[in-house]
Amino acid sequence: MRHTMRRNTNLILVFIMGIGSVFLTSYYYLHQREYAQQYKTVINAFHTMQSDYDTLSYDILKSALYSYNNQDDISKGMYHLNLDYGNLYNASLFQNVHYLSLDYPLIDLGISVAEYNNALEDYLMLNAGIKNSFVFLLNHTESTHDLFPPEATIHSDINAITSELSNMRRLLDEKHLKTVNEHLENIRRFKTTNNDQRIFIETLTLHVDYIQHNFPAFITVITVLENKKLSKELAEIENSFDEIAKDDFIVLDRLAILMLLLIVMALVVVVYLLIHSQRENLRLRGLQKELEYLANFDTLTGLLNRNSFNHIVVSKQYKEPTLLLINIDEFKHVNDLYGADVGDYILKEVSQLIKMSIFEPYQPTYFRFGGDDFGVLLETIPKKMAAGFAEAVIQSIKHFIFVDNAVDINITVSIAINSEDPLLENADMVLKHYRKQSSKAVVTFSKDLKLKEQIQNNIDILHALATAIDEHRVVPYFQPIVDLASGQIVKYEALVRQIAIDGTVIEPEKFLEVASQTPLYRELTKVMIEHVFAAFADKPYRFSINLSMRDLLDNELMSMLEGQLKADPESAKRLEIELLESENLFDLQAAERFITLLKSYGCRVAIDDFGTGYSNFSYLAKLSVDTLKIDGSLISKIETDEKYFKTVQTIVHYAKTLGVETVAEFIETKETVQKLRDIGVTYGQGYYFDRPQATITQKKIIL
Amino acid sequence: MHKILFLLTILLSPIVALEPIAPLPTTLDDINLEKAKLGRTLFLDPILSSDQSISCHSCHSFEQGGADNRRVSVGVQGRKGDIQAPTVYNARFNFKQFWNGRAADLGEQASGPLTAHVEMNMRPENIETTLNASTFYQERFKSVYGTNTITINEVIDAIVEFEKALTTPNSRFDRYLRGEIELNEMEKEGYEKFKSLGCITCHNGINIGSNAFQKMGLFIDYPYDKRYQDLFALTRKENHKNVYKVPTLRNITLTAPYFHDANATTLEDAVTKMAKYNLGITLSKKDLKLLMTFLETLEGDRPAILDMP
Repeated sequence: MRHTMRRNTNLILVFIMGIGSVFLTSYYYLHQREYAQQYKTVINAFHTMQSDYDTLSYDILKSALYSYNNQDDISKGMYHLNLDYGNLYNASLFQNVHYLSLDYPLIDLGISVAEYNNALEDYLMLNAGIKNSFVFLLNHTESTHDLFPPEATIHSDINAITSELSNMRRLLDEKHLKTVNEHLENIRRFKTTNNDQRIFIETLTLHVDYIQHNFPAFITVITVLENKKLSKELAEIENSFDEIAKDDFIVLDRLAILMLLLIVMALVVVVYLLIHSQRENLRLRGLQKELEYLANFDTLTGLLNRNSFNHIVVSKQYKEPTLLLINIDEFKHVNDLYGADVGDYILKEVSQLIKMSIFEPYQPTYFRFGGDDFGVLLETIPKKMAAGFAEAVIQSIKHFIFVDNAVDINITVSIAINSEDPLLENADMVLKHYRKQSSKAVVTFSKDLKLKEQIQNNIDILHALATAIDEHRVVPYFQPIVDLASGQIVKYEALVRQIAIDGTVIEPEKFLEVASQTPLYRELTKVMIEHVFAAFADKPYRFSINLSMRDLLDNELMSMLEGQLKADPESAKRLEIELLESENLFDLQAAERFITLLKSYGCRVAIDDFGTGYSNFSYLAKLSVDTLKIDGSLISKIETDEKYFKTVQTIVHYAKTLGVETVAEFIETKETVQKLRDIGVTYGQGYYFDRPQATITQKKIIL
Repeated sequence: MHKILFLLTILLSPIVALEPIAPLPTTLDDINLEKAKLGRTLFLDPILSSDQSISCHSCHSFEQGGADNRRVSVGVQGRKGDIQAPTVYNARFNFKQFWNGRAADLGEQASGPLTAHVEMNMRPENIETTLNASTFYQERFKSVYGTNTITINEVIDAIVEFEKALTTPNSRFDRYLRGEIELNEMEKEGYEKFKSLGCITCHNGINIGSNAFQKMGLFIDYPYDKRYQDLFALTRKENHKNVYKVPTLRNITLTAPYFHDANATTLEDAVTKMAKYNLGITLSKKDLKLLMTFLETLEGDRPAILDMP
């Protein structure tokens, strides 16, 4: 979980870095392009302006030099210069704060442009007048020779003025104006009545005056035009601009490096993730193999498992398969005795032992089906030969000594042979069936055994029983127990009966055995306890219920019984529990605990079916039992067989010694009654007195 | 190689530039005819004046050399202006517009008369409203500018485009300059006088003037009247009083009366006064006659755009 989260975080990181670098690259590209464009625009504006300024200067120079000149170039030049300045000042780059320091110089430059513009306009005006005046001076002074007598001093004055003014114009020096004035005074003093002479003198005076009057201003504007202030300022701004631009280029450089770093980082992460995911893939592939192995093999023994078996069978890899199902006898006991480690060790050994060379010609495949079940699958093998092989396996394992911590362990196995489909189920069925009934080590499945039908029959019985319990058709029948001395009914034994749907009464022999291995057994006992208590609650008779060792070990049932005893202590005092002997289920301690418990409620305890099976006198001494019920199979034979009579006599004698009452079952004749009375049996029970009835009867007993 | 070329250019350029007057181009390759024709319609349409009494053409008559033969122009409601209307012909070559050059180009100039109280007396919004109300103009503007709504910008643009087409090429003098014809003796002599007397110092370039300012009354003070918007009105500099843009001499024979104040009713009068005030000389009758002969050669063709369908 955390792993996935980290991976997701990494992916998001890569995604962000990817997006980031794309954005940054785009931003950088656009910014760089825009900046380069703006930079170029500004540089172009500088150069265009400088170039236009130079051209204009050249045109101005030309206009000064030539008498006749086309001034269009100058006006156009000025127009362009103004335009250039506008372009420069409004260049978008200068809106950037970096270039704020250029604002004032640029404004100053604008002022200089305006000054230059004004000076140029004034220059053109003044230049035109001055030029024309000089034209007059140069063109008309020649006519003075005809207009004035040769000896007149006016000639020298005019010459002097012309020469002085020419020098002044050439040298742009006002100091020559002084002498011009002196000569002009001389000319003005010239008295004449000649109209032409008068007009000439007036015109001359007009022009010389104009020159004198306007020349200082002319020099001023020329100085402005000439001082290159504009050009210098322009160059200075360009230098400052270059300095600042250099910084911007450095920033751009750094940005590029940063971007490169980011992209490299993103790449590193991507490469890392690729490697990581490759590793993860390998790990997953390993895991997958492991799981595949687990799915098909038994990890403990290395044999194929049940899953593989099913697969092999379903895919029909064997044409005529025969399965040898091998089960270790009493393996649970081995585990209990020696521990799970030893159990595992034995399983491993067995997994090797079953691989016998005799199987080789029949394409054997070995399995462990789980627990202590092993299997050998063989191809097309005669039944008899298979049985022989099974016997060989049994012998091989029987004589193998499993050694653990110097303790020798011997085990035996049982083997079921089956060639009928379903292979494993049939083998298992036949093995279990025979395990119960005989000690045959090798059994062969055959359809003739009708095992399936038996199982189905059992299922039907259980089903009918379950339904009967649900529908309250499981009821107690009551059989009286009579005092053999007085002929009085002293108590009743409650016996379980199932009433079929059609009303027939089903004896317990038909269902009790089948039910004993199922949870229904507990239900049966519960139902019996409830019904019997209810039946005897308002009757003065003593009564008895049968419980088996299995019931004693059932905690839930016991607490239910105790609850019943607590709830009805009066009935409890009349209750006798008949403890049924059971083959291998005799927990003496549990029995003692139970008897103690019963006694505390005033119950009595009887041992049922005493004299057969596993009964022995020794434990009878240990338990404080009130009654012994002598098994019916002994009673029914005392009339015909002296041996049985002696046995019963011994039991009765023994019971008397312990101070325990005795009950004889299965009494059918008057003679039997007489014999039992003779040897001192306390109570009797049987058809002779009464059959078990659905109700508690009070039949008159005749002894 | 580059150096040699550069030097040659430097050396040759004064020689080429020696001729101080340049001919008008015979054809114009920068005119969008559709716009110019729309501009022509607008130029002639009184709809652009507040009382729909006058158009641009009222004061820039194609029959009067693109100018007004009245002393002062008459605007809406018969309001009289102060200054004599300069010609619209060849105005694109003027270095600045208006007598005192207060407009840098034709675009700036055009909105002047449209909105002036004594001229057409319109506000840009009025012009837009008026034109948008006209399906005729809506269609025209739509086809020329592709806009559904006419704004003042397109109006000015169209008028300017038309005015740019108002050139008068192929005057006798231009054709002489181009070497196509010879001038007669008197005309040649007149041109020589025009130069030697100094007229050329101000009247030069493609428009024979209109490329610089000059003071009216350079040598002898010309009467100053503050009613006239001179350069002083813009700069407030004392020496800019009576300073105006040098007028063009092209088609000068057609554009009487003369001067900003229309103080010269005939061209002879104007030339004589110019010689007196701005050259500081008294013209002989012979020189006047010669100059007149020269000035007559400056009359060019009627602008081609006027006669286009």
